[in-house]
Amino acid sequence: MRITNNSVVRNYNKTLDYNRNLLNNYSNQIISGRKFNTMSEDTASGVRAMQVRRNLSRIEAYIDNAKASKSQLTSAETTMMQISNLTKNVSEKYIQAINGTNGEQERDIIATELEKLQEELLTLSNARFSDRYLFGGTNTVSAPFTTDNQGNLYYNGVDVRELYAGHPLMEDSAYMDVGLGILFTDPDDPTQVNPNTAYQHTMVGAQFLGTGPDNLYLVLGEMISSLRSETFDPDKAGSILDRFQAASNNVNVVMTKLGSDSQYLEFTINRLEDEKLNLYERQTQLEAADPEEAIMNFKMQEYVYNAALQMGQRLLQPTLFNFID
Amino acid sequence: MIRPTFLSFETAKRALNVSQAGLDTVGHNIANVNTKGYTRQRVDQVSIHSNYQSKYQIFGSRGQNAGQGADIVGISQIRDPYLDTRYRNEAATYGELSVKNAGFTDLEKVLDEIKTNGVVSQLQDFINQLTKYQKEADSAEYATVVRNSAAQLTQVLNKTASELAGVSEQHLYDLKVSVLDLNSILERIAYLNNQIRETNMYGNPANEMNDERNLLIDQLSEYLPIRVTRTPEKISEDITIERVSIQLVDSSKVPIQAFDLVDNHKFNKFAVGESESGQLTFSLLDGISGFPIYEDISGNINGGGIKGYLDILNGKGDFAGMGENSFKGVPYYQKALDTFAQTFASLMNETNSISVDEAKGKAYIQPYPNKNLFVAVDGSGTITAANITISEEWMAEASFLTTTKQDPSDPKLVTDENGNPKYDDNGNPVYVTTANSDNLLRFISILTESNRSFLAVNGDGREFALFKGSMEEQLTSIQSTLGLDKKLNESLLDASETVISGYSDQRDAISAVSIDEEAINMMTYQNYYNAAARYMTALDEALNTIINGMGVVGR
Repeated sequence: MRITNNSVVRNYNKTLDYNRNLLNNYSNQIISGRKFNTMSEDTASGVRAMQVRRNLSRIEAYIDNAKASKSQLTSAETTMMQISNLTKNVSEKYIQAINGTNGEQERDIIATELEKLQEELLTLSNARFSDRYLFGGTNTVSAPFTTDNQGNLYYNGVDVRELYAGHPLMEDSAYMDVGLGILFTDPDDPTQVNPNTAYQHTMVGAQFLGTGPDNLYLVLGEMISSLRSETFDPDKAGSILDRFQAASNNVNVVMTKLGSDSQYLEFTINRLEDEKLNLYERQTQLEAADPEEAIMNFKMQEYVYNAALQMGQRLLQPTLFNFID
Repeated sequence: MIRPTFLSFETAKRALNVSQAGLDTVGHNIANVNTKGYTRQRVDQVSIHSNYQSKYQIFGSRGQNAGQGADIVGISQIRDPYLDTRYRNEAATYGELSVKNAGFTDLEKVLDEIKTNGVVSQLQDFINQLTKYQKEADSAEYATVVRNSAAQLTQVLNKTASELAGVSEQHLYDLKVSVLDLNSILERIAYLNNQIRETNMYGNPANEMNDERNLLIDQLSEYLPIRVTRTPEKISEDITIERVSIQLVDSSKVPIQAFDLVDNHKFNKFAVGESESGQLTFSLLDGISGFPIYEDISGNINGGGIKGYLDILNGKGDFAGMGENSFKGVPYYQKALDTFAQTFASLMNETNSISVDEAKGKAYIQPYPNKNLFVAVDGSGTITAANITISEEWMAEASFLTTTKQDPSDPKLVTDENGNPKYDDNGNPVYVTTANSDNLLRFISILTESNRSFLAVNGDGREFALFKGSMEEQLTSIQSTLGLDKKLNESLLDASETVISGYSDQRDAISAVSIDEEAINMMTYQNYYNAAARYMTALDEALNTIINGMGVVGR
């Protein structure tokens, strides 16, 4: 085939352009640290990378939620400790009061102390953590426990004597997604989340204070009135004390539950953090350019490009005219 | 028969002419080595026999007189028309692929999110804010955060839609410029046809004009698949001229319907228009008068850069109805994004509009009208990526987002420890926002549900499932579809470039100038010239001997 100047120049240009493109690509890999910059360069990896990004962003949110819950839980546990100590204090003082050697004056003094403790119990039950009431169930903006002048206790506006185990206010709970895969499986109520697939982050105060007439606050009220009454009946006082101690057991039960919840959150946070690390590793595998490989490729390509440039000099210049006299 | 005295002077003179013409041609070739479309020329020489007027002279000479030297018949071009045809076929493919490549690159800049943050990452942010909102469902500040994230999502959708429209506009502009170029090429070819015919009639081969015409036809072939027909026309005994006509054909080379583009001095031209449905039309008009011959032949063009433009601008992909363009062009991506916006908005609006039917004893979802979170900004019924926006009610009140199904008609006043109501900055009493987040969980599970069918309506009005998967997956699939199409197009373009380069090399092998060859020719003609001049000198000396040297004996 006859080779002409035009075809030599054209082919040289084309090959040089190809080499330059390759050189540019490799240097981009080194500078940006990415293996590919668009979906079209590597679609399979691109789709997987988008999936990894999706999972990563979701996990950050779960970890955030779980950590926030954990702090709240810690605060609740502290409060419960204080309530537990308070109930012990009350029991001791009452036992002291039942002790027969006390007269009416001593009983009055103890009654006053018990009144103070009752107020404190109310305050603790309305404890807050960063502007939220901890023990009101889904009501976190107003104090869950309120009283009137007659010594009645109201939980979220309902008299605690009317509350019982299955009452809607007792079941009142808010759930949070921590990455277990939320499901709505109730056939009667498609808006009810399956409690096994979410984390319940609210606490109902009436559960540890008690419902019905055996509510801790109310029994404490009975203790106070029994001390203040004209006739003090030690036997009746004894049965009130028994009821109080039985009721204060609730506090311990709830405390244990809080403890195991705390462990569960700790476990969840660790699991999520591990998953996050795995995802970061996977992302690096998919999207990051291996620096050693990229630099080596670049060097090789640079050598090829330089060789092509030098050849051009030899290819394009001389013609027969250079050699004719 | 005596040999005429001055017979060979003519031979010498002719030799000088021929060698000078040869040198001229070499010079012309060298000067044009870099001219685009130039075909190398060479001198056609013939040798001349003795010219006898009567039969007596023929028989009388008895073959003793030599020939009369050389003469130039013409200066001709060397070109292979079959290679030209093959080159032009490939050029149509190359033209189409390179236009589509430009289109895909522009689309990629708008839609691809490997390196940039676009709709996908904004949607993820919105879902994350909803997840965190579960923990803060009673907080009015956080409700604002969630609404802001949603507003940003609508803004990103709007921006992407407007950028897609921008891509379409840019390519429409390019198409119109190309059509102007195309029309001017057709007009010039027709003009050259006329000129070349006239020049040929006077016996002139019109080499340079032929080169110009061939170059124009090459350019034309990148725009449309064409067929060039050369019909010889005999206009007198010695002169045959060509009639060149060019037709637009089906690139499978089976002419189902061919459209005349150029026929001798007559030519047609093209125009781009818009039909009522918003599709681009490509019409064929008469070159001089501008009257339309065919209103829309866009369906008959299946190759060339023009097809590339029409596919990018008209291609609806899966949304195409009967007779519509089913290439995945800009309209396809616009509609795919619109499908996302519609599905997203209607799901969010539906999920937001619940109330509790206490009478049924259990909580029940009941669609509650007018609790729309997302609406179309122009008030029309259909939401698209370009017009999606936050509803006025949500803009006015961040807690318009229903976080819980608990009955909103029985709000509790927010009180402090002593039972006194709280007031906000405007002096209005504040109502309880419960921390219950059951509806937020529903929002999230609906947004991340992985088996959702994205339904859309195609050009025939039929409903079809565009995609099946989660919302984020649908957005990712838009990008991966584009990525795969672009990659395939790039490979085809590379292959086509190689093929066309091969044809160029073959054409050049026959028609292009090689400087080394011309150098050799130059030396040849130069020596030829020297030899002819020497010969002239020899003849002169011989004659000199006869005239001045003979018959002077004894003088």
